[in-house]
Amino acid sequence: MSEALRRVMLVDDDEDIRRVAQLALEMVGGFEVRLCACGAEALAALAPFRPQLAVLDFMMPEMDGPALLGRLRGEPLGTDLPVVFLTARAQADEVERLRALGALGVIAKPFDPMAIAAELKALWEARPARGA
Amino acid sequence: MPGSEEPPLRRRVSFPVAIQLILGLGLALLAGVAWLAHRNIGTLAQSTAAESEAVSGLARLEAALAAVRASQAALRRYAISERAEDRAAFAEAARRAAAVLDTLAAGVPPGEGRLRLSQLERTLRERLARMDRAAAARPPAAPPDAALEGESGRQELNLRAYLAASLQQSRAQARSTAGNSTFLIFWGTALAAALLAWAMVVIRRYHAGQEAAERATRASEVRLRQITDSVPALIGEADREGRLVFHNRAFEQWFGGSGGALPGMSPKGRPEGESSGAQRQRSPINLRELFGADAWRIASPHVQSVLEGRAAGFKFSWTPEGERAKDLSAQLAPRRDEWGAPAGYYVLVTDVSSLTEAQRLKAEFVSTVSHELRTPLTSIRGSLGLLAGGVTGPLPDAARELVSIAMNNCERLVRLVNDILDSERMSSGKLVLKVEALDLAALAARALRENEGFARSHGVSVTLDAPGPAPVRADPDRLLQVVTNLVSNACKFSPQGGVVEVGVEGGEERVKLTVGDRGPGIPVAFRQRIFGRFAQAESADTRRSGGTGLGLSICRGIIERLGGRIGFEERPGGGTTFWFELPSDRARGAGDAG
Repeated sequence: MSEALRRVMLVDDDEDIRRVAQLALEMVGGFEVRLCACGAEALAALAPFRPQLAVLDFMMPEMDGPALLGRLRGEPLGTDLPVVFLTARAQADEVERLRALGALGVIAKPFDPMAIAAELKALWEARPARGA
Repeated sequence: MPGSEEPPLRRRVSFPVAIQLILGLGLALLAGVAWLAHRNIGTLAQSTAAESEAVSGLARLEAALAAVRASQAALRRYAISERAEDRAAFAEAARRAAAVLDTLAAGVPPGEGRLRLSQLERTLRERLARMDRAAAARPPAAPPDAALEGESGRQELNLRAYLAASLQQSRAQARSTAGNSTFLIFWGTALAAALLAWAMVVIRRYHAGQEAAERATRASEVRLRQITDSVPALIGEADREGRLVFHNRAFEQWFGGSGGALPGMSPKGRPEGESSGAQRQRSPINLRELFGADAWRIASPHVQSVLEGRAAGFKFSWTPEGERAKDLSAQLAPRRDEWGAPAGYYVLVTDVSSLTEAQRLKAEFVSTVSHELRTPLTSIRGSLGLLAGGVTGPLPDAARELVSIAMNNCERLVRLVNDILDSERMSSGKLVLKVEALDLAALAARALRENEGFARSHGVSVTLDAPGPAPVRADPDRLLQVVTNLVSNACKFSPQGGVVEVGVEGGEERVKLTVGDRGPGIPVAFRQRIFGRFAQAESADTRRSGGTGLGLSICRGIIERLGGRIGFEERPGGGTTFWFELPSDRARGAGDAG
């Protein structure tokens, strides 16, 4: 809890969104950001980058957000990794479903680039303490 | 169809009555004629008896007179001869005359005739007595009895006249009776014959009418059968147990397989020598067996309701053997017996698979397009947001203005995409509401806070009048969407420097939220469709509003889904008040309202 949010991994298949999000998180939020274009890349980057938080796009080809979340939970470094979903489907029941899967939060697309870093920080601060 | 069926129906009721009346009249007439004939024949017999009596009376009168005259002649001869043998001859004649007089009135019924006969008898006996006395005198003398003879002659004439008159009278009566009888029997019989002939004509027409009605019924049955058979839907009539009393050809096409026979109609169950048409009318198939237990589980509450007399409609899915599942829409209508009690139901089952498939494709299309639009919008909005936020360094004034225009329109596009998706969810019934207890007053305050910036950008201030809590059960996000929509609409249409007044009233039964503005009001032509989809008033201000035309239709959908009502009214002093009402949650207590 005392630890500040620094390293954020962002997984999205759309290159432009990756770039915009990177600028928003780095320049507005001051985070260290690792961009991944797909789930496999994210799993591979887990050990070298050791993210504190992962932001996953909901809809991706091959491995979508929920599937990637399942794979992350199987990795030693991903078991307790807080995950926030970015989704274009922000209907109440879908948000519920993602929270039930273990998501820390859900941010709707299109997001506000000036506010997203603060939102992630707020979610990070409010994350439940993990039994370690 | 009703016009052609009514006349035979009326004839069917009235013809037997007419026939019975006519036949009854004819029979009564015949009986009357027979009774009259019987009575007249009796009268004729009486007349004949009277006639023969008069004739025999006359004969006896002649015989008596002749006997008295013979006695007188014998007395005269004895008076002249004074011989014993002449005396004996007189005595013999007198005795015979007395014997004849004894029979004169015998057998004559009491009455005028008998009276006159007895008078004459007495006179004649008196004459015989005087003759006897004259014969006994010495010497015997023939009686110069002129007075008594005159009396007896008068009486004799009277009697003759009477007998002749009664003879004539009885003959005249017999003639008239015979004449009357002939008249009555002839005309009575003729009238009865005419009535019977008429009855035969009426019966013949009645039969013809009945045959025509039967033909019409058969034709209408055939027509009905052809109509129901040509409809590409299941049409049937079931009894209380769900057994099909009637079904159209579609049942055989759906359930019969290649042979066309329904599962319930095995050959051994088919009665011998029965035509297929009749078989179709009395097939013992049960709807439950046709559709299977799964479908019946969905149907049975509706069947229950239709058996209680209420029409029902429902959708279910059914998978024919070796085919894809079908989406079916069923309508049940109660069938009542002649006393009005539900005796079964009519079934109409339509295959709506293509319709639901089209609806599903449309929803999927709208959803996909909306999501696909969001991806580029995310990049555009993000880039513009970072630019406007000065992340890349300060922008020249003109550039900042252009970026701001681009951002506003990007926001508008995002709203449009969201509204289209909401609207589609609303119309396909897929809008998910997370209903919880909340305070409308608190929610209104939050909506005002969130719209402060928007109101300020329009040069409008917003006030809230909420004297107390207003507990409702609603989806907070969706209700906030409604309030935000109404408030931002009011801001958009308010004049510069105007005030938008929001009010919340928490009643016992309902809670009400009002949003009043001092805008130009709603054009009369637009009022009818203001809550419709893509409804926007055509005015010079349309550009200023920047709306999608879906907002109010979504508001209405949400409020109605929450069990409330939404509307608007003209505001005294100009402007419009939009309002919605929701059922109050006060019964559960205001304490747990958040």
